[in-house]
Amino acid sequence: MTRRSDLLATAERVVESAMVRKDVEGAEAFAVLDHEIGATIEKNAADLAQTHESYGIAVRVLVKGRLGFSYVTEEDEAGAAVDAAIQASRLSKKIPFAFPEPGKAKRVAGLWDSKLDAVEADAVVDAAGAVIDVVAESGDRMNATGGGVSSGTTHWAVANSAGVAVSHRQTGLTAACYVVREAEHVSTGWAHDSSTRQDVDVQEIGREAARLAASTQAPAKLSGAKVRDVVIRPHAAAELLATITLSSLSGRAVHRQESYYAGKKGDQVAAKSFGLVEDATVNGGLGSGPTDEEGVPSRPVALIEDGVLRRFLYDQATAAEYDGQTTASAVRAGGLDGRSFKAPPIVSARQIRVEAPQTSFDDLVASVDDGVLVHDLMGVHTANTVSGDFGVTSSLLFRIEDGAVGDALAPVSISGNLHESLEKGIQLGDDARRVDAGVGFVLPSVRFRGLTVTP
Amino acid sequence: MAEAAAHEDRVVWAPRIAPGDVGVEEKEEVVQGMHDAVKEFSEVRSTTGTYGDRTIRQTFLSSEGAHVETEMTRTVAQVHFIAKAEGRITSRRVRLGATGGFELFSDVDYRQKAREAAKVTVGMLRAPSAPGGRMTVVTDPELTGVFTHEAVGHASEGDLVAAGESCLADKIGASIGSPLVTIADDSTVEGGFGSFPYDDHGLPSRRRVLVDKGVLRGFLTDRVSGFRLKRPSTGSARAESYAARALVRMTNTFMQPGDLTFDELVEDVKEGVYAVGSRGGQVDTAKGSFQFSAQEAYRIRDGEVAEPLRDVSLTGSTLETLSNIDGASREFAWGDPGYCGKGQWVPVGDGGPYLRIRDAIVGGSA
Repeated sequence: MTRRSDLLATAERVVESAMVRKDVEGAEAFAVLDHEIGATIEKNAADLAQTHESYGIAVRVLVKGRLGFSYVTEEDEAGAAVDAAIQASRLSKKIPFAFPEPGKAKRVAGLWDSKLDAVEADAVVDAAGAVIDVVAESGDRMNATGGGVSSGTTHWAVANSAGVAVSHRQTGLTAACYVVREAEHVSTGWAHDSSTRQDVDVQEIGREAARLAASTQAPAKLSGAKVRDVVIRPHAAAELLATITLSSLSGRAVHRQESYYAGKKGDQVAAKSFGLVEDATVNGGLGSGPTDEEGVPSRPVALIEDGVLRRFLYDQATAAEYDGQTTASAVRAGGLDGRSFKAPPIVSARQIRVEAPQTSFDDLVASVDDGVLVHDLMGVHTANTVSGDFGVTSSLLFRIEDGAVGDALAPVSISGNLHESLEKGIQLGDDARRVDAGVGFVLPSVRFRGLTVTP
Repeated sequence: MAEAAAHEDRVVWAPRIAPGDVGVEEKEEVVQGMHDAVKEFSEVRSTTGTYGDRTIRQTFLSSEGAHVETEMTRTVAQVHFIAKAEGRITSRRVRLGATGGFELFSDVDYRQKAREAAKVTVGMLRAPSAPGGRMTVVTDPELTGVFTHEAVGHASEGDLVAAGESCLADKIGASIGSPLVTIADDSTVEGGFGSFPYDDHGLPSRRRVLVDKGVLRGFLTDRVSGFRLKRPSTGSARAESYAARALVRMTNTFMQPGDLTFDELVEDVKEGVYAVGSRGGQVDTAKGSFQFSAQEAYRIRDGEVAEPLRDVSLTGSTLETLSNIDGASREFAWGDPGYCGKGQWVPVGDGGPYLRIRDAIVGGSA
């Protein structure tokens, strides 16, 4: 564990050693140490607590205007990573790149909880056991079949030859539960929650999953394919927005003509009431942090404002390549689910705020004459992220009739075009939750108008 | 854990052309070739090509006396492109991959494969949305493979069965579909993207029959789920890397061919959809419902494949869909190699015949 406190010193040392190499014009090192303790739920038993630690150093060098990348998993092999990065630079194309300069970062609170840093494996297994107990007590034939509880810490540091020297630490807690109720019909329920602090009510996760399984046990069948209003719960709505809208706002996608939003800057792309703001300075946000993973200070960026497309997301390399400016949107592959040092930074939103007309959840439902309330969406990753067309399945859903939530329904297919949905305008409830959709969100339920629902 | 013999073995699956002996320029040429082929169409605006090869040396030792050393190589190249016309935009990926080496690119005409995909994708740009609702669907071998993998393969994974998350849990020996349905998972397929000599519990590779003429015959198991289900391991333990625990995973999963020609499958479909290729899919194994999206699709009208349709997705109940299969072609093919996600990513192959499914649910506009 001595490595933990030395991450920044290690990164600075690697940068120094790279800068003395022939033809190296700039260098950056990212050192990271992840630690995770997890217990899984398997058929009413808390199973296999596993602890996982990963350490790595990623190196980028700029050689004659070309970037090279490599990584190692042992500190004393950092020299080999520098060699490999120099070699890799020969294959990449020349871009007008410079590593970012240091900047003043705003403090972001609520990202570190010392209680989580001190969590022992027993406590994690006990928490998973508590979820299982709650499910068992919630009724007959209720089985907690999957999910689990995990707790972890991430420490990382980044240093570069322009003087950036930043280190960051964050804690995380995730609880998830999948419930199968085997009665006349099989019904299922699913709930999960993540936080940077120890404020996840794990028992509520079990209760929520069990409630869903109980309330969907005798689903009615919807008759006929029809265009309906659809109210989508926070997790599923965030996944839809992250997969289609946010990936289309990446500067890289836009400049490569791979985005619906290419050439539309300044255009009305959504209803006037709609806004989308990247803001990783939000205290306690799952994707928040004082800087991005190139060490660039986080700041709020209005991507879509009053329905007008304003900005795209950039990291330093994409900004250099396409004459933009970094929006502190460099993440080390994949965002929230498992930071990895094994790839160069990519462009991604980190923590998103959605702005739209808001009302209470009850009024949101009351505004729908004939529609469905959807708790899960399957197959969002198969959406056409460019055109915005999607066809997904929901198997945890309820009918909304004359403004009231009614019967549980058998699985339906839901299809539409998300870009068009945003043009028509969405409406938000007041049941906001923290959501990890690869990008951090604080999002309530969302009403979408006019999606095709097919039983 | 389920009882199993402790194996001592050393297996090297040497590629015909080791990627290490091939210069980086030649590898670049593969990506460039696929790029150039799709760029022949003016509607193709943007491309991203990647090439990768990986040689994996693995040693498995256990206190039971197992000592298995394996070495294998996987090679993969793909191009992802965006096509635009008249305000419409769409994307497509073409991937080649095999357990093997650089010979892949002399065995397959990758330029032609990319060119054909681009041609079809450009044609799709002007296509209308699919009609939503229930109708007869004919799937191509790749989509049949994805259906087989998603709907049947996942539900037969022993860890999910033991957890109570499979709609197939109590159905061994029972009829779960049309007699035309025979499904197996086979990690010994030569060159198969999901092939390996030994699984990650040190057990030899094999063929595993899951469904035989509509009757469920087995599950996929590793030694842990095998113990829970009181069944032997089928050698289906796979881990993404040393840093992950092995889970029950598929390898190369396929449906056996039937005895019709493609024309015979289509000729008595009055109104339906012909769906080709896959953008991926997802499944709820407990309820037995699935969703997947096609890469391309066409309307079938009066027994003929007619105009293209865009963004077709298929959903439904696994058991109902298996019962509604009423035709399979004698032609069989493997689809593009894929990566299956279950918390960890592993390479897999899927394949099958052309398949006719009655009363399938197509997602589209109403």
